[in-house]
Amino acid sequence: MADAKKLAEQLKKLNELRGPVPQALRDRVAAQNKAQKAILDALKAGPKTAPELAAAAGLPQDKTLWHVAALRKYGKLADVPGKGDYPKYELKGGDAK
Amino acid sequence: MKTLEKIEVDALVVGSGIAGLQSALDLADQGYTVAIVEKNPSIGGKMISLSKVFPTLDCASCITTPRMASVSHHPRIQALTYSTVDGIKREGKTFTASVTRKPRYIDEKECISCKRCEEVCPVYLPDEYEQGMGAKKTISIPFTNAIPQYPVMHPEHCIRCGACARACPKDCLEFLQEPAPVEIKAKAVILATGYETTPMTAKKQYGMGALPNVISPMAAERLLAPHGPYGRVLRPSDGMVPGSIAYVQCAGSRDKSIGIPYCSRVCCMYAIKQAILLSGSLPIADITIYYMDIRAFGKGYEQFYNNARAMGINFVKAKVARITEDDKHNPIVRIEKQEGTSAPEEVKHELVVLSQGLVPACDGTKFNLGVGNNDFGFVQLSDETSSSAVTAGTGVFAAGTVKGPRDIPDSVVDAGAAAMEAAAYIRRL
Amino acid sequence: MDEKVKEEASKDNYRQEPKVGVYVCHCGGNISDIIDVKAVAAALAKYPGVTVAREYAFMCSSNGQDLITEDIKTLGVNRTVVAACSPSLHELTFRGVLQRAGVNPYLHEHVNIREQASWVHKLDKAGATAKAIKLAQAGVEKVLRKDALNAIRVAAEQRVAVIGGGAAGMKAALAAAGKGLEAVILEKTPRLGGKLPELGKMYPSGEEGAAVAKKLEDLVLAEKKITVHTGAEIDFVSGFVGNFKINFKKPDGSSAQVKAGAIVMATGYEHYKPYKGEFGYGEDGTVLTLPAFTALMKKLPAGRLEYGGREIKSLTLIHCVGSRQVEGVHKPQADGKINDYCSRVCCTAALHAANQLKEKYPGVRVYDVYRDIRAYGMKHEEYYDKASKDGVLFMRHNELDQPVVVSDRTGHTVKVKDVLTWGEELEFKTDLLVLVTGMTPADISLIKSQLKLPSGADRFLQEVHPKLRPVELANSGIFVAGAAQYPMDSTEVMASAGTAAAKAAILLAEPDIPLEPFVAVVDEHKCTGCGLCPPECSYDGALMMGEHNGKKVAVVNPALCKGCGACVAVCPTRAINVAGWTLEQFDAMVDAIAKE
Repeated sequence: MADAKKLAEQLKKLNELRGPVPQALRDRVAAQNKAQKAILDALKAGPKTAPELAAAAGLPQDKTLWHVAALRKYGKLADVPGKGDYPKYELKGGDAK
Repeated sequence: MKTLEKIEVDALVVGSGIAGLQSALDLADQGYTVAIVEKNPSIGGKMISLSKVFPTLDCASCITTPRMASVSHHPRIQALTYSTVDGIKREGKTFTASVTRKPRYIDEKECISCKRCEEVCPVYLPDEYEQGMGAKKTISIPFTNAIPQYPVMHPEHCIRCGACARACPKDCLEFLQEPAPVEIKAKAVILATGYETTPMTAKKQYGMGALPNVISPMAAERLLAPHGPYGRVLRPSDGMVPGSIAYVQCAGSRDKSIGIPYCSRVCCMYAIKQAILLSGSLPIADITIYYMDIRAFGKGYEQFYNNARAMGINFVKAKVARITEDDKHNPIVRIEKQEGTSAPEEVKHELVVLSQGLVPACDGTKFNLGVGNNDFGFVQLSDETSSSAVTAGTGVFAAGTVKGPRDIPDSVVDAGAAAMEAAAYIRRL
Repeated sequence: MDEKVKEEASKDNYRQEPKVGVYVCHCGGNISDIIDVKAVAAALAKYPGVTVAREYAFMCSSNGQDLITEDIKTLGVNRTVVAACSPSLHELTFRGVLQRAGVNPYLHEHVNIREQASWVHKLDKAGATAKAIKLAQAGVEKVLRKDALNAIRVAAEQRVAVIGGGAAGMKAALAAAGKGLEAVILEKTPRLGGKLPELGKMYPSGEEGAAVAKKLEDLVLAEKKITVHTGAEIDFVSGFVGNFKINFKKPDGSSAQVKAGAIVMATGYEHYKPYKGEFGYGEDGTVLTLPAFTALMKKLPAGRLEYGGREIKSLTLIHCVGSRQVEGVHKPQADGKINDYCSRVCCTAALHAANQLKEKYPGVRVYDVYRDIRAYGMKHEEYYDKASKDGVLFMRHNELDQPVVVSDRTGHTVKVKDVLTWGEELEFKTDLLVLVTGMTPADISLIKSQLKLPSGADRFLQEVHPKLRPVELANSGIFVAGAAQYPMDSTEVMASAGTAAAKAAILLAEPDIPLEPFVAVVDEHKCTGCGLCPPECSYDGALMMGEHNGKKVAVVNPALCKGCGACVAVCPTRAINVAGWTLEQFDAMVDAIAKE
């Protein structure tokens, strides 16, 4: 584990060298977190397709799919086996309900 | 700046795609020492990101990973990844390359590739390995089979939350790391810097970038790859399983209007291969290939083409004028058929792959070593009927697609010959 | 591999208590899409003798290999079973892992659950999984009974024999000599150069084929390490990697022999010879093949094209003669097969010839009848372009609508169902027909049968794998260069020959060559000296009757034995076994598979 003091020093030095974290980056991360939360919240009610998630989360469909891919890769949601034009996704571990 | 790291080898190989790896192995197996410099964080080049390869349909990883592993385990090969060659000078019989190791912001000696930093990092980024369709984090290991398995941090996307440092069991985050200079002395240089796919900026009417379901062949490779961004074939606009897929051949090849009159050699075959793979994973999908000539000229390729036709893949001799889309992002392909009927038609598909051609990734002349280019920026051979690898630069050899488009079997063979020419040159010194 | 690694690898791990590690590979999805790899690993983990069983996405990757290394270090694993792809692909990869970790590399068993389970039982996932488990269990039984073997090392002749003195052969010899190896070229004709001198002006360099031949020949003759035998008629080739013997007759009738550690097959191609009547070939003097026409054009004066005593006002090129043939449409070749392959170079050669023709005889009308124009090389499109600009009239037909030629005294009438004009039946008269013929491999049946060299359905020599081992034949120590493998252009021949020489140089980089230790071993106590086995042996001198401790027994020469097992099969007392493949192992494997 990192030494908390050493880490704090490094981050402080970094702020000095590079200036503060740009607001645009902070905004982007906030929007990302909001979108992911909205998608995961929507899945609590049961499996959904990407367009259904987009509608529930109020996001564009292509952006939603990107977040779905991201959350899938990092183990937050999973594919629901089955056929159909639009595959469904569920919360990881099937703990949808 | 860190102290200068010095490396002395027989041969320097620039680029670690399949051609670079094979050249390095073929030299090292003959007893020569080799340094490879690769700009990306992992060796393996384009090939490692492919799904399966024609005409054998071996998975690309099955063919590439063992070579990558051989290189990384070879006692006579050093691979410098995430490093750039800033310049090469020749003095007498020695080349001196100035190389910069870019900072990964971790202590590579301590890192155990546990991925915890990546797991806890809160910032998601489009993953270029997945052609933007998947995600990575601000700190992440490039891909599953990457060699080396070190994470790379992108400071411009870092919110400095420190989560990675706190999660690291080896305390190896180094936020203040700087680029490190390396000097490589070598007797011969092999350029194996490979290709990029033809930019579609000059071909706006095909809609690349503007239409979400018009994708590149590299993106199609990732869709078909076992660990692709969606884990299955879906179209990027809305995650639908496409029921109708079209390939537009010669998108950026054989096209004087965009300055690329040459044939890119591989596009017919990769389109046929992808079509075969798609019809395997999507058995009810309609797959159409719009083409001018099918150039299945390699060993076993014609038979591969015949198999694709027997599987029901639809080959249509037609030129594609432009691609638009309907309100559901279904691409509409306007074609002028070269058979059957002459009237232009508009055909709706659900996903379109532009079979992009190949352009050089790196200008071989930039090191001022006497290497010449042909009209299209590929490295020119000094005498193509007596050697497939000797360039006009003394001691500089070229392997693979840096000399022009070629497929993997041709690149592998080509790389062996480049190694042989370099070996003979070193021996004569 | 460096020396240190080699020594460590020969440690006697087999005396230790066997601890088997089983590794199940997903092969991306090739295996795991069908087979439940977790279930296979779980079943194997419980199997007697197994210390650990794991599954991983790509066992052959560096991470996958590290898993094994780690288990060897921490769990004391000393035998491995990898259930993955075909052993022909990656058995050596995993032997390397064991070797680097200090375990005898032959204490590894590679079980093929891809070709033998997932690929062939796609529709029966449960069955495929059950089969994979059985195969892996049989693998465990086998590896438990394996002995630590050591490669047989044989001294190698530091010399490369190159059969064929064309472009490929000369380049292969030059490349080998460049690396310091001796090279011997054996050429059956009286001169070096092969087909080059006949080729006329070559694309894309514009050099005359004869000049290229001379250039390479001068380099060859100036190279002290190369010996050339022209007019050499090979009559017997024998031996094995490191020690091949090629017996040949010199032009004066005397016999000679070349000993070589490696052989490069640079035996080249023949132009496809149309059968009599194929588009009128052989029946009418005005039907020529492209090579014949190129040679002719070189000789004739410019201005007015005259041939056969008359002026040629129009000429028609017909592509794909002897190539891209279609079952049921084309007449089979002598061996009953059609030439379904593309000959790669003929489209560009035809366009290049059309360019030259139009330069020399601008007035001649040229028709070009084709299926696909395959002008794939960097400058080849320029020839296509130039031909179009020069007014060459292109007509394109589908595979089932082959062009038809009717010839009479007034010339040839060609009928083409042309897709470029939307399927219109075009009919036109032409004075000269030029058949754009493909390539077939040169006749090397004698060498092929003596060395048992593999060829594909296209009759060209067949490499082991187009990407992993693209110039190696299955016969260890024999490489292929140039058009003996497949049609290719001159620069491609240079690459192919250079890489064939590279592989030969790697093979001969050390004075002795390691051979697989899978050879017959005779248990002298069980051998009754009955003499049944030597007649079954197909490899000269590999197995003979001899004496040991005053007893008549079968004696194996390990350098010659290929481990085929024919002797094992006839031995009435089970006295012979092939090392690494013993009867005891097979018994145990069968038991494991048959067990309920």
